[in-house]
Amino acid sequence: MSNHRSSSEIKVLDGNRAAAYGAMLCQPDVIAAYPITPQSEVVETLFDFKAQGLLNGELIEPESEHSSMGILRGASVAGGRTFTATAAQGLLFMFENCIHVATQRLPIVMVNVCREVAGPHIVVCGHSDIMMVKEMGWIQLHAQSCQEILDLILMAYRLAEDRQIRTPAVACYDGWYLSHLWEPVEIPAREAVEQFLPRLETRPQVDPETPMVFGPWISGWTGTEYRYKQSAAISQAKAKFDEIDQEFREIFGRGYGGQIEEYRTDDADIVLIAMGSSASTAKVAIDKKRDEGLRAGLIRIRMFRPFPRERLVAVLQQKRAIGVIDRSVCFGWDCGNLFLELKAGLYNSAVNAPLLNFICGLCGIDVTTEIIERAVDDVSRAAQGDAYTEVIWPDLE
Amino acid sequence: MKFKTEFEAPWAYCDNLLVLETGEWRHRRPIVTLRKCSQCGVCYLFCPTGCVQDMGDHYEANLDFCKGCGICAGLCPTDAIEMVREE
Repeated sequence: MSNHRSSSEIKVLDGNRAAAYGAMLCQPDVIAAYPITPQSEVVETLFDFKAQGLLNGELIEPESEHSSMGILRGASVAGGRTFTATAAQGLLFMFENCIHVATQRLPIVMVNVCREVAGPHIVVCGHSDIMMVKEMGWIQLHAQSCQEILDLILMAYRLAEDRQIRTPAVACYDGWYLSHLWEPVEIPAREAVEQFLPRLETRPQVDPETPMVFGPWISGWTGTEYRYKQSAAISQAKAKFDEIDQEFREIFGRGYGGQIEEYRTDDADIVLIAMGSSASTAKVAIDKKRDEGLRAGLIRIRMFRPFPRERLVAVLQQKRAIGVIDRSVCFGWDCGNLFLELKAGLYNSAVNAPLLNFICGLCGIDVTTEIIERAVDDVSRAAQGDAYTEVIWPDLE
Repeated sequence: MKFKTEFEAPWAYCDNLLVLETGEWRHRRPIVTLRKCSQCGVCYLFCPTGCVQDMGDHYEANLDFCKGCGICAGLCPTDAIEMVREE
């Protein structure tokens, strides 16, 4: 074990406090954040840190999320490391600036505590907020535990600030199921974080001697050029995330598998795919099914944007049936967003197995082990050649 | 792939910016009657293109950039500015 491990400490934290620790360890130059349920403790804890002298940078609570992202846009152009956190309606209010900073290729890191967007008027877990960000040019990562929330923020900065990528990144975790779940979390030593996440020279350099304009009026041809460069850069984040995960393991003694986490997939006949907190429940259900003699495995999506197509195809090639757990709905396609992405990703690949979609855990409903076991049973029957329904809503049955 | 810029995003050095001579759009120009001008500066304040210049004893639009919108003429409290059709 590395020396850094011995100088770390273990604290019992909920997901929001773990996120605040993650941000504090990265020492952003500017943080601008507005509190919103279920994210509020992130902002509260950051203000605590500031009061204790643990944060060196500027900490601003503007009048809205739109202004939060606007402030980070300016701070990032000036070369600062920046951070914000939000959820649901707050995220929606930020959208205009979210797209600006992505096109401007500013390495901003944001935390989104996934919450169902109102309406219906509820403040509970769901992925309907963050799914709207998938076409905005942001890297999108998802955590499964409080420890991973902290770690994911460090990794998000590495991806966002990478010279070849330079794209904003959002680290996500499920509202309530993780934001308010208390777990032991190892807080790495600051020197170890500085080794993993060194300060890079920013580009472009803002220099009063050489005035520059950011976001000038452009022609359609240059606009197309920027879109092409943006698309190519975001795709590079896939392989880079695997590399970063490995490097993280070497320094901190733990890793997660990069773009996807594979759980008991090696000899599995059937595989479930999940993202966020429901993946940890799914592992319990998979273990139980294994005990019953079923060769089942799980893939947890850690990176949703860019979509880890190549890694998924590699794991799924020999599988006999696949089930996808979705916490959001893709309107107009009558299925979940993750399911739609996977289906598109498997086109023309070597994977040719039945695909089943389970839309559950919407609007704060628990994704229980019973629901996952039922999903495993359905997928198992499809693997044996039985007729199956492609999209199932277990919570409505 | 053929690229036109060295940057990966919409950034530009200021000396590469294209400054449009918006005066080319104009179809009428503001003419100031010097004896009527009280030098209150309302035209200077409200010109959308910011092209009105202080000439010392009166205000006058820089015709390289004046689009001929006529806001100065409309606001002038002494009616010192008249919009005249460009020939």
